[in-house]
Amino acid sequence: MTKTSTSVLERARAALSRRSGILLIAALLLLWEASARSGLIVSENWPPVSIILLALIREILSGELIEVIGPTLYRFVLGYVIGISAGAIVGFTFARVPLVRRMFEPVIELLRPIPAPALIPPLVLFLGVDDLMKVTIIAVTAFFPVAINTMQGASGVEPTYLAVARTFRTRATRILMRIVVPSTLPYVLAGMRISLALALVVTVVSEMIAGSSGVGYYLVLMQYAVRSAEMYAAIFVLAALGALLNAGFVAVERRLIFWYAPQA
Amino acid sequence: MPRWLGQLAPGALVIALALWGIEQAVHHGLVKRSLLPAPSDIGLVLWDLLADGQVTGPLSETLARLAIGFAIGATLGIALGLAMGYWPRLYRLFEPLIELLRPIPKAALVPALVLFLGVDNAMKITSIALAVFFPVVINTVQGARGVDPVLINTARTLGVGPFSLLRKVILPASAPFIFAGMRLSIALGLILAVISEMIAGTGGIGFLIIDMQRAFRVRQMYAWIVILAVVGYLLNFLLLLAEQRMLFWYRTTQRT
Amino acid sequence: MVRSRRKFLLGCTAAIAASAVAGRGRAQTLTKIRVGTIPIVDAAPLMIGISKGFFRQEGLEVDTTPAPGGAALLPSLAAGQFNFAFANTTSALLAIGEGLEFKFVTAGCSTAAQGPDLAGLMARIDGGINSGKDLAGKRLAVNNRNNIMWIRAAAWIDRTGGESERVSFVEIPFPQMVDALVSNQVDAAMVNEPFLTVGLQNHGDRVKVVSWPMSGTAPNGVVSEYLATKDYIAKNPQIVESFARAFAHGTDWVLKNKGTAEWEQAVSAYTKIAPERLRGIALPVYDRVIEPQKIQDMIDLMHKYKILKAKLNVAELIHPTALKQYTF
Repeated sequence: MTKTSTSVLERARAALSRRSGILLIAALLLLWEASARSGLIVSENWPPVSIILLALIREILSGELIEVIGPTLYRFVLGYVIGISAGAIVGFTFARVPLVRRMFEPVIELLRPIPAPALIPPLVLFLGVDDLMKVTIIAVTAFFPVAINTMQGASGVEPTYLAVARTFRTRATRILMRIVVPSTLPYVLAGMRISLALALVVTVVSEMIAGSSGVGYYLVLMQYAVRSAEMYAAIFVLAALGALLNAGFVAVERRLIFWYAPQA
Repeated sequence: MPRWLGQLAPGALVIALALWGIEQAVHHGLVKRSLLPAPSDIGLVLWDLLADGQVTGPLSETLARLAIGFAIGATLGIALGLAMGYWPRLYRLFEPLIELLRPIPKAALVPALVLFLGVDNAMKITSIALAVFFPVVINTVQGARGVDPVLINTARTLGVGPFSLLRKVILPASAPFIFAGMRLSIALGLILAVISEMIAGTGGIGFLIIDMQRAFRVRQMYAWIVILAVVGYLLNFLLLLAEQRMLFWYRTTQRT
Repeated sequence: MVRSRRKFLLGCTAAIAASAVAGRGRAQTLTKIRVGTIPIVDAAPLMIGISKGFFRQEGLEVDTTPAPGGAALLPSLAAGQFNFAFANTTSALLAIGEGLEFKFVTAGCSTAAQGPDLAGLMARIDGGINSGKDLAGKRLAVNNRNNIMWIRAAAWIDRTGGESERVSFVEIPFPQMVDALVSNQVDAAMVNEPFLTVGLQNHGDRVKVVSWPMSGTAPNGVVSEYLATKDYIAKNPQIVESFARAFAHGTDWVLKNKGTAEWEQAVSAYTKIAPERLRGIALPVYDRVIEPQKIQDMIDLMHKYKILKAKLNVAELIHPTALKQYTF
């Protein structure tokens, strides 16, 4: 496969090959529509997809949804960038400096299983109910997968490579750039990809705690206003946003570790 | 000094220092006792909970759900992940759906989950399994697709069938990724176990935490949070132990 | 040089003082306050008072922070994140009993004298649940334990021949209650408006309202109030007074316009509930003042159900602004 062949033709083929996945989603949505329309499932919490799509269009045209997504995106990006940067640094440090790992890993592992809703009293005590609290929760969430994966990757560097490099008296920076980083990077990126969706989830959850902006607030407000079509419309947007972010991430990932995923 | 002590001492020291710091801050009135009680007060409540065995009921309830949810989520995640990594056709079929579902917070799915699965174990275990599933499937796919193609081609030329190829070549080669995914998942699964108990509750650690929080009994609330943290820590530790055993086994069997 | 500077400073101070006196109600002298609230029909006096400018008239600029679940409100008030917060009476007294230093600064709402009121006990038509006695060993959905709905439901069970200790309370969010009831997940549910009316519309053939435990066990009983910390009240008596006055103005408007098209629009604006859904639902009674005896009744009830251990003195819990009749 030469570089030139990955042209328009290749891309078109790639787009077409996704057809089966999109068909599956369409089939599931049709099933949803049918189950709600046929009277099989009667509930205020299960509107037909067509009603949801109408609500979606209405809320987009009125500008309501755009207004709702802005703050969510802002908090997400801020928290995510802080979290993954800290995660990569900490994970790498832990793998390379065992004493630091032994000092701080227990604290991190103790904090990891505690969900944000359990910590509302201390969170509002120290961080308030505004962006500081929300961004912190997001950053902490994005932190763990990256830190764990980075640690796993950086401590899994093939010892033989390092030994060979040392035998040839390779400079430390060169070992880092040529051996350690390339073998760690796939792990770091896998962690970052997991964090991406998790951070988006937690952004929304943090907005459910308090405050009057963002998708999380909108979801709860619409649910309590008996407007579940609008609620699902926001969920659809969230799903699309997450998939889009992920697709963008995968594109970047492919460039960064082009040697890694041969079947991609 | 025994080796395990050298391993544990630095971490214990940091935790002890942090607790001492909070204790001092509370005693000097720097933080409100009604929102953050002194660690020693929490310790007393914790002691009571442990001493008269009150801890066992809720703890076993939460852990039982987590165990079942984790087993389901991880098994499905590994199976689908390996299959998606091996057969591009399956990858293309499921990848868009997975990527659409992943960024939806489970809390937003509560209306649908309650409608279809009720408020009891079916709903709670499904929530846990979903939380566990996604990191495992993603890490497994990443691992399975990263297996050296030369290895796969060689095996194929030698006439190895797809299932033994998956089991003997791809699974071992993806094992480090799968374990990393499972370690992420165990904490997420525990979080979802707790959150699902907060959403519709009658028992379990999550129910007690939110119940104590709403009753403003903060010392009890923190005591249960501490229990939750320790449980999460131990689960992670156990998984690490299992990982070391299994990966060691994989490495040695691969070489022979 | 020094002299002219002092003169300049004096001049500035005088100018600021003058504008503060003259410009009461003008934008530049508004005091900012932050109020934690829940975006429900009960919060109408506050939300409509803000949109009608009653708080501005009193020199207050209100920033409301809705906490959809309500769980974050009282801890946030204690942490100083809010100056005032809305809470149901039971939860507020529980917080005070556990050492959080709050006082009631204005009234909120009460239930009606008789049903239909803001929440009803629903059951399946063929479920055989007609009294508290029938609930023995059964599952009853409440939104939270230890709050107003829970305690009134418990009181209703005990009053209608049952034993509340023998009923298992299941916490389910309001929007999910009717689904859980219809699918046999629970045997009864304490459902509030608008979910009660919507539930009857969708499943009128399967579910019914058995009773109205709120007004049934405590006619005109308290439901909610607004609180502030003792510390804040001591340091800002004037702001608290202005808040209570503006709030009373809002209550006044609500009492005069309740049920009109303008009211529907105003409530729909902050709850996002469609105006037609607001038509015909039972509304809470909006109180002008707190009646201390009703708070005392709640304290007694909470002692009876052993969720409150501390002895509370009602007189000490109510700030004078909550007892004052403001006129407009």
